[in-house]
Amino acid sequence: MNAVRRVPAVVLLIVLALLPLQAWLQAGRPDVRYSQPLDGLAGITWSATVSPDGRLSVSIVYDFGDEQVRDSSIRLPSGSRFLRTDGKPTPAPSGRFGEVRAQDTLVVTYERVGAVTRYSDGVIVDFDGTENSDQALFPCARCYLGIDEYGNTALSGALFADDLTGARFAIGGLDQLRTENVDGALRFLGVLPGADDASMIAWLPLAAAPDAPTRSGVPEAIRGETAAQVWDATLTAADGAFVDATERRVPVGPVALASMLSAMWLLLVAWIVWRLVIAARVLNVEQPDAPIEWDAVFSPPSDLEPAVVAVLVGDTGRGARSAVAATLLALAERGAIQIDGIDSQRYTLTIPPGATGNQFEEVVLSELRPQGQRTSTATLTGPPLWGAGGASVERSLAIVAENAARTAQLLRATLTAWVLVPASLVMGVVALIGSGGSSRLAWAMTLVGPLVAVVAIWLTGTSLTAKGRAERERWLAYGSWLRTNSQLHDVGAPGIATWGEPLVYATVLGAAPTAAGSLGTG
Amino acid sequence: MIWTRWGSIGLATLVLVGCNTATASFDDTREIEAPRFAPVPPAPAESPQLDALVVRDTAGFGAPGPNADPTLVGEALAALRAQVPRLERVSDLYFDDENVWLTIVEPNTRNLSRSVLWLRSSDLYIGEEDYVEEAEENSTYPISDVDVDAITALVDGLALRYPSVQIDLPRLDVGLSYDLGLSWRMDLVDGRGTLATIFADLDGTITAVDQGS
Repeated sequence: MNAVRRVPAVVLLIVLALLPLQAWLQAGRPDVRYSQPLDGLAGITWSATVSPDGRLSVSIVYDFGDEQVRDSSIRLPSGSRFLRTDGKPTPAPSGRFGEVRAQDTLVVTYERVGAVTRYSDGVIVDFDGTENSDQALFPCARCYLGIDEYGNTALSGALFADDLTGARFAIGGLDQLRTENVDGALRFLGVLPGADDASMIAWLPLAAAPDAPTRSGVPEAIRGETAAQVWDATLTAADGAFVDATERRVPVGPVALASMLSAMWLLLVAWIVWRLVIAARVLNVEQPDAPIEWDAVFSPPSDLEPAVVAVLVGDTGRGARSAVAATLLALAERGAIQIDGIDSQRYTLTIPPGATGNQFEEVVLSELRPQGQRTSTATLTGPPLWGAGGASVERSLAIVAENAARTAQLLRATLTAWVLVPASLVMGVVALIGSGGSSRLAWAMTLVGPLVAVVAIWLTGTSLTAKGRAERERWLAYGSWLRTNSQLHDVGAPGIATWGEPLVYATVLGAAPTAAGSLGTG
Repeated sequence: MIWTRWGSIGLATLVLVGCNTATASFDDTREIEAPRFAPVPPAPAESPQLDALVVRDTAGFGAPGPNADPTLVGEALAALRAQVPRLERVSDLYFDDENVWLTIVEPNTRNLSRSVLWLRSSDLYIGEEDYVEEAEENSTYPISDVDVDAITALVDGLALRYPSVQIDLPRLDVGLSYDLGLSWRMDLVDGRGTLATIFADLDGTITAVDQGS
């Protein structure tokens, strides 16, 4: 098989490889992607600092993502003081509520006492809103900020302390949780379903707040003798609502998507390689696999047209050959045209009016007839027989013969459309679904991938079927036998009257190079 | 035909999903800076949080009564210490312009408390012992937590800043501190009634303003 014909398939594989590559790159990034983003709340940023004496300074930034003016309610956890909104001191009725008019963003800051408790084995920071969402990182954002819609939003967060060595923390209420303990903060990112509330409990080393109170000031807080007890009891009471975020978490969804796309791509690679190898192996066969039964190769193995035999055999074996010459000799052999020798090599070829042939022969005759008129008589001398149109006749005849070979199931497309086109489409669609529709590459591949596949199929061409391979082997054997006849080698076109059918096939099998040269286009 | 229909539905769904997603970057999380704590003001009445208080129009009506007098607290505590030398813990303390009220915990007996009234006329009345059910350590505080200078500076500063407002009944009671820990709580009353309730740390720094909803 011509190596150039493999290039389109390789290009297709390279193009499709971009999908798993992108998926793996995405899987390696700790970003989150979510559907149904909430109109009116583009994101929330929460942060807090733990002081050595156990106070907390909290900042919450609500990014509305629009210019709408909203009357927003603020609900504070217990022990909140120094309430400010957008930097301005704000009244807090009952110490727990506030009202503010907000636009674009709303920044809520306050300090909190009572939520940091010191034990012998560490410090617990309590933002557990499992039972009471007012005690969470913030209460239901969608509910109190004057947002009328429903949807999801993203929460970025960071808890700062002087010492976070060996710190553990658990987050509740977030999907796709990403965490990191870096630069003096426990940082996290996740999707807040329904833009509701989120909880956190952190177990910090004693050095984080060595002077913190030893008794929790949070009403109805879970208590214990040690930080470990409080930690375990809180997670148990939450009944799975908390996710231990201490260990860096592998994003399962993106990794699964990348794995799936990689598997699909590898399967496609294997299938294409298999098809190309099979095609190359078949065409590279110089001799039949099975021993030639010489008794069976003394006559044409089947009634295939010479042009179809030319497609099957190609350039295999010694000797120049011509499908066009063989087609003309076949016409002369059955008397449709006349080839009269002027000498041993030169001849006069006469196409009588009304001469007809099969689809292969018509391709050749139409070029030789004056103005293509069937009713005209054409008398030509050669060699050479062909002028400038010879090459196009050769191509046209090859196309017709290839189609006939496909119809006869002797040939097939090397890369079949029913595998390659759906596979390209499915990979694009899977990447598209996996990306939530946000990947431009996935969109492009879904639309363009099948087209690239079709082009690759067309450019990669055809290869033999099992039936075609068997046929080819028989014809190669017949060609080998014909080449054993030394006289055929030198027989010119006029010899058709003497040699008949063997000369026809010898011309296409490389056993009669003189006849092929005198009638052929080359 | 059916493939065409389902294909169209699938494609439309993908388009809808594709147009209705958002992303958030962890890089933004790495940009978050640590929130800072409020600085201690130079004087209690200059607490920034006091800017949350909105004074209202009273149509010329002045303060309904005299301000509480924090100087009484020091005198009252001195008189009390003279009577109860081993006094350590208090559960409640409040005062007006004439009187100071306290609830003291009997030394060594957490379940017994006494009401105390001190009058400007220097009379000290100590009530009978009351039994307190399951008194919590958190509900009482050491008498040493009462910083007379701080509450004096706060009340006097407020009086200067809001001359038409009465500072009424400053009170130090854990149970009335809104989970803020031990805090001074006092009402600001103008000619129309209670204007706000403010809370202050023991050093006088105002931490919260409750001005109603």
